[in-house]
Amino acid sequence: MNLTRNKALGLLACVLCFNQLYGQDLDALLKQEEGKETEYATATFKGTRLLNGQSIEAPGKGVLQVMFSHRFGTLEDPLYTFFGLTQASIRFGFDYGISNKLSVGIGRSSGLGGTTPPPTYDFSAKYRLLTQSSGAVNMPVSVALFGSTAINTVHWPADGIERSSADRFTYTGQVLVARKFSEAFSLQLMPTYIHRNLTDAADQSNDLFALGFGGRIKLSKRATFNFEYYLNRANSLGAGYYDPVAVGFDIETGGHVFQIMLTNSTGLIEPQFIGQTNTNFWDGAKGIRLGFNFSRVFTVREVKK
Amino acid sequence: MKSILVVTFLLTVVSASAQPVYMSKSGTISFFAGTAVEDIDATNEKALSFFNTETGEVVISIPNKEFHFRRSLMEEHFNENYMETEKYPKSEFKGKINNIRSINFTEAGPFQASVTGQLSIHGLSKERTLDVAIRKDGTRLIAETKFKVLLEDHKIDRPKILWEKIAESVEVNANLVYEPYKK
Repeated sequence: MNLTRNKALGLLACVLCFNQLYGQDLDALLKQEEGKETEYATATFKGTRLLNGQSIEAPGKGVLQVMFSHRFGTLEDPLYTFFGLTQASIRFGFDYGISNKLSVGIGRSSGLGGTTPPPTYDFSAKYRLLTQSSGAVNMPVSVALFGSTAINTVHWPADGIERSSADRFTYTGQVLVARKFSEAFSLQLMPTYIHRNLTDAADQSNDLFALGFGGRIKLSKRATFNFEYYLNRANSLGAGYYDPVAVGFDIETGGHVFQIMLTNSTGLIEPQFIGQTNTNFWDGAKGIRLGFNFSRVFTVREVKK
Repeated sequence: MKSILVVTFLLTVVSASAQPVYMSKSGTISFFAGTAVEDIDATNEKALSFFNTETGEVVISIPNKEFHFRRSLMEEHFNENYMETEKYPKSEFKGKINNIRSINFTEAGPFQASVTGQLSIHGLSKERTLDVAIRKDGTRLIAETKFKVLLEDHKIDRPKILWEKIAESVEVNANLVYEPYKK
């Protein structure tokens, strides 16, 4: 009898389970199944650059991005120089998405007055290692790796110092770690290593280690406020060089992203703006200049469905 | 003796109510929003739906981020500017088959169902009645429907700039493949 009762209770439990499944309303089932899906974060930033430096974003597969960037003279004598617009350093570059994870870039920059920063070609690659997600796969951050080689093509001055062609090379490696906290707010950390075969002065390190950090606040569907700072190790930059700071806005109109910023650097690639920024942001108008990045994307290859 | 009676009773109850819940996980929702100027179409293969063959209740949930376009820029604009997927991550439908009493899903089919319910897109829901064709494929039930969504009904902005042409109404095709739901 006792045994039968136990069996009966077991069966009763079983039946209740079935009944629970049957009685469960469809909304609850939907919720339960949705929990098994993974949702990936998209559009952590609008552009492939936060301001001066890289963001975790890259052109999608088959997309070519053309980018023009300028940094102008300082705002020190704004009326005479028309807010610094009498001088400019310029870079134009192309980035292409080979896949949704890997993009490659090529660019050419030249400086204010043609010497600082010097005319330089840069070749880069960016690879998305991890993508922030929630649901079945929980990943708190997105991570991208960025690497570039820059070649200084300046005519060496006739000063009697012997230089080799290796002296023209500079290398950058970055780990970009970003988190989209909400639709409106994203943060990014950028530990950076730069190796320069040749430095401007004897008190500068050939190897630079900088910790970049920055973020964005979304103001509307098409505009964000961005900020970015690269903190260099004490005494590695040398006298007269400063950490680069930038604050600005992204404005997106269709296929264009227009970034306008206030920054202290004239350089448009990592070794230049991280290692060779020679005005101090905190000096105010004497150290700050206007800058912009203007990008347009073209779909070169459509993704097959 | 008493307990045996209880068990028999419960077993009868269970066998009387055969599993009427079906789930679709491998459906395809696609839409076309193009104009003469530009082809804009996207496909979503992550729609999730449950369907009760006895009560006629249907729920569908579509993760908006899973609409994939041929051009990644379109996809970004769809997410960021039009659907605002961060704010409104899901498009949903919740309704009931009106003529469920005249449909017996144990028959061979095909069946014509008229479904009325709330279609919720971009945070705004609207009552819709859709004609759905349902056919049998082994143990599976395949439901197909075609309908139009007016962007204005769901307060989805149409771009004012010239180079992005989006139609005022979007043609949606849904093809859901239901299988008996096993927990």
